[in-house]
Amino acid sequence: MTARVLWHEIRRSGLPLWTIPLPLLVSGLVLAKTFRSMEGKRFEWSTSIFYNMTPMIVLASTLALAVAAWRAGRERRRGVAELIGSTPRARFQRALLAWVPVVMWPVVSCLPALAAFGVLSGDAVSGPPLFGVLTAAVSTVVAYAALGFAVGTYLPGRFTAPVAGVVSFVVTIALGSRVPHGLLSVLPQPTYGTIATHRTSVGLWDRPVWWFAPAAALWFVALAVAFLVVATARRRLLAVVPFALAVLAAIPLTQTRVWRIDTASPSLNCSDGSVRVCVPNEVGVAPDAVAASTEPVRTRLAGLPEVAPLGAADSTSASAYVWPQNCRSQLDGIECSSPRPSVAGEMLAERVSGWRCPESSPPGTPVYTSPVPRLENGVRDWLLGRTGDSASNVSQHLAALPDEERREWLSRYLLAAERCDVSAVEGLRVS
Amino acid sequence: MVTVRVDGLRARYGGKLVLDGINLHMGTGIHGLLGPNGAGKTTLMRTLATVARPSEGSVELLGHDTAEQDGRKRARRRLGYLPQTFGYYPGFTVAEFVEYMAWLKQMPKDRVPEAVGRAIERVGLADRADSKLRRLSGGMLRRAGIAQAIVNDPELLLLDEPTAGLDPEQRVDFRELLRDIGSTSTVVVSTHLVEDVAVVCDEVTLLDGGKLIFRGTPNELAESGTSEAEDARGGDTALERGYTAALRGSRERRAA
Repeated sequence: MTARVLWHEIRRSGLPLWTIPLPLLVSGLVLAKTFRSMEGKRFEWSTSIFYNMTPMIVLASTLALAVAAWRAGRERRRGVAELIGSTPRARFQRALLAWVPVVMWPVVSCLPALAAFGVLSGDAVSGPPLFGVLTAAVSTVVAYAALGFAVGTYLPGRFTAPVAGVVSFVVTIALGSRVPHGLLSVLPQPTYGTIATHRTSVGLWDRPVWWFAPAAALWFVALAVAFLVVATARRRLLAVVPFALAVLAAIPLTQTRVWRIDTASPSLNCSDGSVRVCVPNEVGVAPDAVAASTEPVRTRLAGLPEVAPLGAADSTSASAYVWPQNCRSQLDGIECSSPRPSVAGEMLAERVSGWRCPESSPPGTPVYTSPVPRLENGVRDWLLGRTGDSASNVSQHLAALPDEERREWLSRYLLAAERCDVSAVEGLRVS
Repeated sequence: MVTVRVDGLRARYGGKLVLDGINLHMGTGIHGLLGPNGAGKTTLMRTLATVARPSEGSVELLGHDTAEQDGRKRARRRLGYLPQTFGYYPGFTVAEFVEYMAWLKQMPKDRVPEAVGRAIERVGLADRADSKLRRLSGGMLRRAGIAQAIVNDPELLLLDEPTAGLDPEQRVDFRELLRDIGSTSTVVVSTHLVEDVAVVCDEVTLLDGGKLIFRGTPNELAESGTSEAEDARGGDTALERGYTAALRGSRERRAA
């Protein structure tokens, strides 16, 4: 019975028209922006939450607040209050029936974007997805809807909803950049990323403490319950209980540094084999994927003298190929340029064939400029198996050499490249 | 059996005394509530509907004291109410709104589908059950309002100006419906239309200035009036003349 009446409320309220299109549009724009900024690179999970999801959640929250304020005044605006006042159904139950559709549609409008980010996160560079943080963020929508309902109950006028919506939006945006970092965790907005990025030394791989998301969700949901009790219950003093619960959740959120560096992230996860492939834990992709991609290159390198460290981020992994990853802190966020596993072979070939001559670059030029580009490109092509008719002379020459001679040729080349000794390759024949 | 027992009822509205010492007992049947504008009819109806609280006195409905929360709740389950201004949600269909009201009245869920259909049929809106309320004419809206009032087969039905907006044919049908409900329940109809009272009511209560000035059958009210020859200004029918005479007599007594 209640379900049927709720269904009438959901279908007939007209709320989807008000609360779905705008968040969906913003979600679409956010996703498009994310894809454009990726430019073929891999998805960076936490940055996407912090900087791309926030506008959508703030918008959905604001809409939820305004619509809830409008909905709460419905009985009086429509002149139904007197009729309903003659019925035995408890006020709290009636209010819940009106409030659930209000909060449901804004949350639903966020789901496509959440799902899209969730799917993308499978190929993310920054570890497992932070679905808990997203859940806490969505719970802000619930809290806003409850706050709006309370406001609309006491101020049922026609201007309450638009004014409350505008005030809420402005205050939410303003608070995000002005309050102390500790308080950000308990503000009704999901700008948690600001905590990390406002630090002078940004830890890209910061992870929240395990209890952060449940505590934040508890804080917002308890607030929502308190607002609803204040707005609808006969015994309003009962609101003290959820308020107390909310405060209990807020204390550790404000007093604790909830975002911490994940010490497990930088450690390497390596594959087996003569030339191991290592991937930092934080990358979140299996080293086997990288190993499979680099396997043809590593086969061609077999038997060669030490050419490590190959793109080493860890000097102890002398015989390992370490998955390259460049993340830099920018003023407006964190930028990573970690490649996809499918191009790992190419990355490895470039790394192995490249010359390490930073001092050789004249001022004003890029740090790395190959002193022997023809040789370098040729070696790279051979490592990648590009030895056909259209291949360079060097690559074709290497392919034609007997194994022993090629090993000797490559050994001289790699040693010269390692030492940046151009004279050491002057005698190498290329045809 | 007494279903409505009002003793020493006083009610204030904006500081003004609008009901002054009303004593009223009603049983099964149709009761007309008459009186000029500002007589206190709507306040009395709102009080009986448990929407307004009395300043003094007691109201007992269907054996429940409405001063107590539990009693109020029990009485509300068994009453139907159509306010003078019928508010509704325009996006709901007739059937959905009546079902919503059935939920508010805490009807057993297995009874609701049949009760909703029956209530809509009784007011002649079966063919418009799936129409949105915003698309209905004034008369149809009034009938939808009556449908929600009777959906729970109330033992006490309170109708404030129920025939406003109904055309003559609909009023005839409505009177028939009232007779049907009034045969087993207590129906209180507040109205300006004396002819409605004459045709359908078993008992009439006349209010003026917040006081109960007449109580009896329509015939007794008609008999209390002057003859047509004596006072043509008193009205065209015997009941109208009785109504006018009762009001004048009350005002003269108060002036004296």
